[in-house]
Amino acid sequence: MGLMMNKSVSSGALNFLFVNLILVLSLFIGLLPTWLLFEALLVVLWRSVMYMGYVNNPDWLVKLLLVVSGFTVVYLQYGTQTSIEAMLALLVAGVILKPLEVTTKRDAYVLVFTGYLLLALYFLFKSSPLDYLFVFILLVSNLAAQLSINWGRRFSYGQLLRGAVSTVFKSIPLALFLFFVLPRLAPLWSLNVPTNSGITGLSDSMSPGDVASLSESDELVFQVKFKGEAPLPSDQYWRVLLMDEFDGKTWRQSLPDQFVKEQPMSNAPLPLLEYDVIAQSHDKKWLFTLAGPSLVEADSAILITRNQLLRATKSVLQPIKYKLLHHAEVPINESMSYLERQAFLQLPKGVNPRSKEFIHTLNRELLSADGLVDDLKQFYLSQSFIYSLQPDLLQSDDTIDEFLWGSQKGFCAHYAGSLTYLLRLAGVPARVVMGYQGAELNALENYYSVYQYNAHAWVEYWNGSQWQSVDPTAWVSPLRIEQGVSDNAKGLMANLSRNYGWLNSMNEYWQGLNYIWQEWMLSYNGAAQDAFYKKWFGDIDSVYWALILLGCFSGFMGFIFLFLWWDRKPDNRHTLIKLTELYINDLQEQGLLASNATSVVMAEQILTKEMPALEGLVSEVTRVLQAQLYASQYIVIDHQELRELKAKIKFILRYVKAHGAR
Amino acid sequence: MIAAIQSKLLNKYHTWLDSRHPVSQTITLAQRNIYIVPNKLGLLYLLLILVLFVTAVNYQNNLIFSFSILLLSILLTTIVSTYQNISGLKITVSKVSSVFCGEATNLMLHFHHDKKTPKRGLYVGFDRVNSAEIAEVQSTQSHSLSFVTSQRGPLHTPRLTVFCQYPLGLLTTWSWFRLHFDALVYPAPIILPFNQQFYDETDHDNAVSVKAHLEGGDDFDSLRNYQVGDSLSKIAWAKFAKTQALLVKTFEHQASGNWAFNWDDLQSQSVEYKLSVLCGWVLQAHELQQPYSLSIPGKTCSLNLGEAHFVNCLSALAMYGFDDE
Repeated sequence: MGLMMNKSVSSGALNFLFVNLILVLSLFIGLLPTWLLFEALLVVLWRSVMYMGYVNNPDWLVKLLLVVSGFTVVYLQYGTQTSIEAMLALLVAGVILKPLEVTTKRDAYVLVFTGYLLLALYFLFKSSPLDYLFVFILLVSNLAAQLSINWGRRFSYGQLLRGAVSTVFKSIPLALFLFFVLPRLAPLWSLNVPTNSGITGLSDSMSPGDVASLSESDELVFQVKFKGEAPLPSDQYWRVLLMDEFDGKTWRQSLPDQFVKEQPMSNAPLPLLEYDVIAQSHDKKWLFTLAGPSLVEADSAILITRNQLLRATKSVLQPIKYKLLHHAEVPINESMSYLERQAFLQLPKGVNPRSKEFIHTLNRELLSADGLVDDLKQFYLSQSFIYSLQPDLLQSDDTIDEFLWGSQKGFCAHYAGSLTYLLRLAGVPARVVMGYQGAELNALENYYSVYQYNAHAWVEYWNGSQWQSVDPTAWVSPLRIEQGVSDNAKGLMANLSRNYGWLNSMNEYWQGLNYIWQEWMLSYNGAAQDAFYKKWFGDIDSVYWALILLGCFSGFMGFIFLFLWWDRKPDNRHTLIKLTELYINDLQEQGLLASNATSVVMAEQILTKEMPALEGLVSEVTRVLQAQLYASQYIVIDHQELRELKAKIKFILRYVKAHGAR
Repeated sequence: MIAAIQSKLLNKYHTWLDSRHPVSQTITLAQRNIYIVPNKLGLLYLLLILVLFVTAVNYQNNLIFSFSILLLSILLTTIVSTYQNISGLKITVSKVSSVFCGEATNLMLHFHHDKKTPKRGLYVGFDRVNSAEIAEVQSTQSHSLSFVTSQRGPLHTPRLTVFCQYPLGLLTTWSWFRLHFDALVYPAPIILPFNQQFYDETDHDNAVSVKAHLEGGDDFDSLRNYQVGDSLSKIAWAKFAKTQALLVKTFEHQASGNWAFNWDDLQSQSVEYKLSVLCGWVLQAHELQQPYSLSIPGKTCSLNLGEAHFVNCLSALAMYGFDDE
């Protein structure tokens, strides 16, 4: 099945291919090295100018230079690490010279197929509905480029695009069907090649002295939808990390995560809380939960730690959806081992003398842990702390002292860090919790979004029997907790929409669309598929399943074959026969013809003899009728011609009627 | 070994094709005679889909999954479009001129259909390699194929194929058919000077030696270039010795009276040879406006002159041995 005699690609098709290639590559601006994209553009331009005859095919040295510089750029940017970007960049560097060499259809197909590959791999980086739309549009243009190769000698770009659009839209029903029906497989092999896109998420350490950069990102972290009544956003403390080790400047986690077996929930009571979370991708394993999740529903990829944090078994490189149930207000970690107690009381030696002094002034022997916290709250309130995202850098070794009695300006990390420090000084096991607080409600779709600027830190302390959480930032700056971060931390869009109502509602619609997209497109996994079937078909056995699937499939194929039926010129033969009958019968009624079995040719002879004025018209009508009635069927008369014929016959008949038969 | 099996299979396939598609003057391409199979590029495309599918599964990426499914659906839809592109196409032949064996004739094929969408990217030919693209068929289109005849008799052409890779080049859609052309292939003429004498053939294939003494000996009228089939005895050897040019002596003095070309006068064993010689005589007589008659077993054309008689005689020669068909 080789190529045909005409192996070369037409120039029109080539132009289309190149424009398409540039469009596809322009998607990757910012994702791939700029030089590589620029080089691709250069090559395509060169080829176009070459086609016009101004320049020659560059000689091998130039080509070699282009290839080498391409690969060098890839090497410089990514080194030897394997990431998806690096692999993609290698792919692009590999095909970059292809446009210069495209002459045969086979070369052209290589370009088209590369286009498909690039378009699909784009989804490893971006996944918003807008991105999908872009890719979809480019898919159509890629398809049109492919069509141009085989279209024949003459075509217009509009024709190609129409052809491509029609092909895609004819394919969509089948694709939708397959999308919902095809089983979702678990990963075939572990392939955790990370993406390089700079995700500015939580880090696993917290240095209150450093500048706050986290709070300025308006990147979406996760979305949550509650079933039933949702807790107030100000009460939603999403726990992610626990930090126990402090070296005087930085808080870290030293205890490894310990996973617990899922509690069996036999006769489970109605849950207190039930919610779905869609987490965006990041390159860590942690996930988001309120305190005390008791069950992760039907997901072996998610684990609960002893401290009731949520962890994925693998890095969350793709958006992930999970469902959590809270059956009771489970106290966190009812027992504490000696080792844990040591870890939660650990303090750096020989720093922060003033804090030590301060704790000694409190009568800590008389106080319970809860009482101590109350006292400390009074302390924080009595001082003039200022909540600020741009605090002064703490330069001394005694960071806690410097903050508490010096700068007194800081954000959650400063407050949570200092409180934990003070509690530990007083002998109360305490830890810093990192997570997110203050979700934003989308009233349309009734879900909450949590962005990076919602990142927060608070404190948990051991009150003798269980862990208790306390948020010192709320003492100092209740507004931060109730209203979220100040506006300047949010993105431009959020700020604008605050000022313009219509923009706000549009933004809300857009966010809502995003959410539905997330729910359907990104997280339609095996579990979601099962749920979807159950909702629509109930519990049915596999034979029915097979039948339904077969039915649907043949239905879709039938739908496609309908297009074959529509692709038919109307058969006007029937109308023509009727028209002839009318013509002959009418002439016979007028007394011109002896019988209505006269042929049209006979009728013509008689008519032209009787009414010479009609001669031209009659002979024309006769000719058309003859041709149509007796010709082979492929000469088909269209509606316009039929209308004209009718008018002419009517005219003849009127004329005959008016002048009468002799 | 493999080649043998391959050719055997190919033969089987062709026999099967022939049994499915009898010879006719009009062919309508429909479900019965259309075959659609993915070509190499189609397989490559499927491989691409597979790669994307595996990527989607390994990254649990629904978007790539949906993309690969869309590509797959496009391929499936294309099966219909390519079928649509070729089905309903009617192929008819118009009158083909008869030629002498060994000459090329133009087979005029007419394509028509009554569909709204024009047929694009169609190729027609005797096989995949020796084929040419037909211009877009709006509703009618003609295309002529050059065919070199190699066998005397009613014009038989090998199987013809129409195929296309429209729209995406991933599937090859084709049809094989045999057309009946209302034309004859006359015997390849062998120009020998006609003489009422008998000719005998001693050398079976090449030449004829003159049994009876050619009258006049060197008394020839003109010289012309040697042609395959000319008798060695009539080569002007004397001239050859001087000029190294192989020339044949022709005699015109015998062109008088009525010529009667008789099958039985030729002593050759080869039927085809006899027919060729007779054909050559008929040609010469026609060119010289010389009345002639032809008599071959089973057919006699009485003495006559003119175009109709000429065609009649040639047809008789062409159809010798085919009459029972």
